Amino acid sequence: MIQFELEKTLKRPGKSKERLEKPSFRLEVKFALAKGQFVGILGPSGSGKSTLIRCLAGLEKPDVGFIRLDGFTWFDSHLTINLPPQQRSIGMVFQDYALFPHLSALGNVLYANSDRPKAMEWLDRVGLADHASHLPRELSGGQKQRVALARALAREPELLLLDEPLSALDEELRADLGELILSVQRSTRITALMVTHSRQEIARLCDTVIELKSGKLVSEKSCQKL
Amino acid sequence: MTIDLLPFAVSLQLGLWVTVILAVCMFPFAWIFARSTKAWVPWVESLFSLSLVLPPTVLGFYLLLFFSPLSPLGQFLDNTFGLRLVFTFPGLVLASCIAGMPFMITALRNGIMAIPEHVLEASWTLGKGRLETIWHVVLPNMRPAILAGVITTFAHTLGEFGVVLMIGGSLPGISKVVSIAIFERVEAQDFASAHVYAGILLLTSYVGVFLLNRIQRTQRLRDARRDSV
Amino acid sequence: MATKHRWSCIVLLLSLSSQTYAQNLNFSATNGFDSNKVADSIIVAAAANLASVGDLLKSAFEAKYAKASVTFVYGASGALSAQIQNGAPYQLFLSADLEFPKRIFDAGLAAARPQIYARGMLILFSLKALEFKKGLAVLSDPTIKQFALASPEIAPYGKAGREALVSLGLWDLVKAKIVTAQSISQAIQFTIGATGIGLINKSALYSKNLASFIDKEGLNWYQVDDSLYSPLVQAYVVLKSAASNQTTMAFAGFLSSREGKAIFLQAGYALP
Repeated sequence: MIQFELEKTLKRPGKSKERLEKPSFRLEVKFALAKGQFVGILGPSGSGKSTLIRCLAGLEKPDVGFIRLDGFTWFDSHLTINLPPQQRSIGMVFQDYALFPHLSALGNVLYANSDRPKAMEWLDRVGLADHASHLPRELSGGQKQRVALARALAREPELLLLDEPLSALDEELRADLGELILSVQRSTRITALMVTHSRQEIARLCDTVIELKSGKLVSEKSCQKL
Repeated sequence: MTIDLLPFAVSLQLGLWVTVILAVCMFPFAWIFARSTKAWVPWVESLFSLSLVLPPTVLGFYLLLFFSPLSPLGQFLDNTFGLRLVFTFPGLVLASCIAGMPFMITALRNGIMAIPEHVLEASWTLGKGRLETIWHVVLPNMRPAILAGVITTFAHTLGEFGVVLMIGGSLPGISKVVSIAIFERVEAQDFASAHVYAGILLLTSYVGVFLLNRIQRTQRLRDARRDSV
Repeated sequence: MATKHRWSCIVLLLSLSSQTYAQNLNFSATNGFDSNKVADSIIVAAAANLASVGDLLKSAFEAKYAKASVTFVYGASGALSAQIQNGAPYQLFLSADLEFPKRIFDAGLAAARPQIYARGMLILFSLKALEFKKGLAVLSDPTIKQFALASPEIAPYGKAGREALVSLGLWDLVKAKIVTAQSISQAIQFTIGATGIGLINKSALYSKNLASFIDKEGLNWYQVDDSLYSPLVQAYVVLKSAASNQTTMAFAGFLSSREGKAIFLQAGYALP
């Protein structure tokens, strides 16, 4: 189980009138994920959802709060504990894939887990076994994201974080990749948190959805999935 | 005609030492300048570019005063370590490093800045520390930048004249580099020898820089075919 | 013999013998050095425009003392002085003037007073043959558009050039035509490469690329009357650290010796 309570002051992005009147806003979220749960975070741009997931990853630091995984503290502002990403059991998938350009698909996965057979297994699971030796520049967007997924999971982390994983892909590809994410999450039973601005994706993939608006959690709902 | 090959040996050694030392020592600074958002960064960064602004002879003159065995620092170095930094080859290497810093640092810094943030973050989320990330992800992806730094620094050091003259004393086999040898032959009105020195220098530098540029172009073409990763 | 004649004979004999004695002194001054002791490598810092005569001095000295080795380091006198004041490993400083050696002596860095070894000669040189009957006045000719002169502020030959032009009342007439060089070497470069005509040092004629003009006096060059400018005295100074160094003393002696003087004469200098 992952419990967290965070508060962080954020600058409002963009140049709207709102920004001039209130240049910053406060992200305040309190939540817990059960093991194996697939939670979606929905919200418009600038609602703080990316910051939330980056705080969980350890890439950004909340002002106040705590993050605990099964009683193991990743972050606690009162105890001044702040584990860097390296020491958190996470795997992260970025919107822009973030693959290592100089390594092949297999090389990227090996970077996470140097066990070769296991790495090949993961590549196979995402359907890219025959592209193992291809470099990222030789892969399509969808293929790159599959490699990113394999790479994120190869270390068998406790928590999978997905920051708008499908937003950079074409319409047709989104459905396929969404299916893949769901099937992998189901079969590994990994706890997953996905940030998106698409209600459809949430509806299709997640167990629970929480909605953020201007940094505040405004709703928490279960989803009915097929 | 008086042609002596010793200046070429000195110039080459100087170029190699300076390039290697700067490539290694300037990397941490380039990293900070590329990635830190602290307020003092632009101030310190500008300090590193100062040697570009001063005329080389002036820079050499101040270095001479600073490290002179008559100065407090010079005396300390002499008494404690037996180290002389004027009119010696190590002193020349140091002075040339100071003169060549901006070239290496700019190239490295630009190379680091060209690496997308998410790529570094991905490495961290996969359990790799900062140093591991620099070694396994950053360096392999900034080869063209490193080459650019090496080329410009090496070329600049070979052509360095003002600083070397002041702090080196033009001692044969120690600090008499090709650029000084050419100057001296011109002063002696011995243009024939000067032409030969200059010719050899130009030819070898041209070939060296050409080869390095070729390598860099091949790298760049490969990188250009990359999608946004 | 009449008393007058007798005295003349005695005086003549005495002067002749003193000449020989003096020559013997000089002779022993140069040969007074044990070749075995003159066996070091020394470094002589020299003004840049002495580079061609430096080559000659080095070969002659090393031929005389086979075990010794002289390395010449050339530079701007100002830079060399600064280096000497900051620990430069030179044994002797050969300057193209008297000022810098004096300064080094005054700074307490010299083993002895500066010694004058030669006098520089100023000439007007032209790549194209000119009518030098009028001497320097030819510079006021409208056909001469520009001529090179080393900076009178920083170069002794430049100062001499200005003095000569001022004494002849030509300065105001020609000063607009002057292309100022930062050193005598640069003045030579400007003369050969840009203006075609300039006031330079006679020793420039004895360097490799102007040697063809040596016998063209009156055609391509004209020796300026040395009464028109203050003597271009050139001195050397032995540095303190080399005070007891045999090779350095031998070299200093060599510069003042008959052989050394002959080299300077050959190289376009006058005796002091």
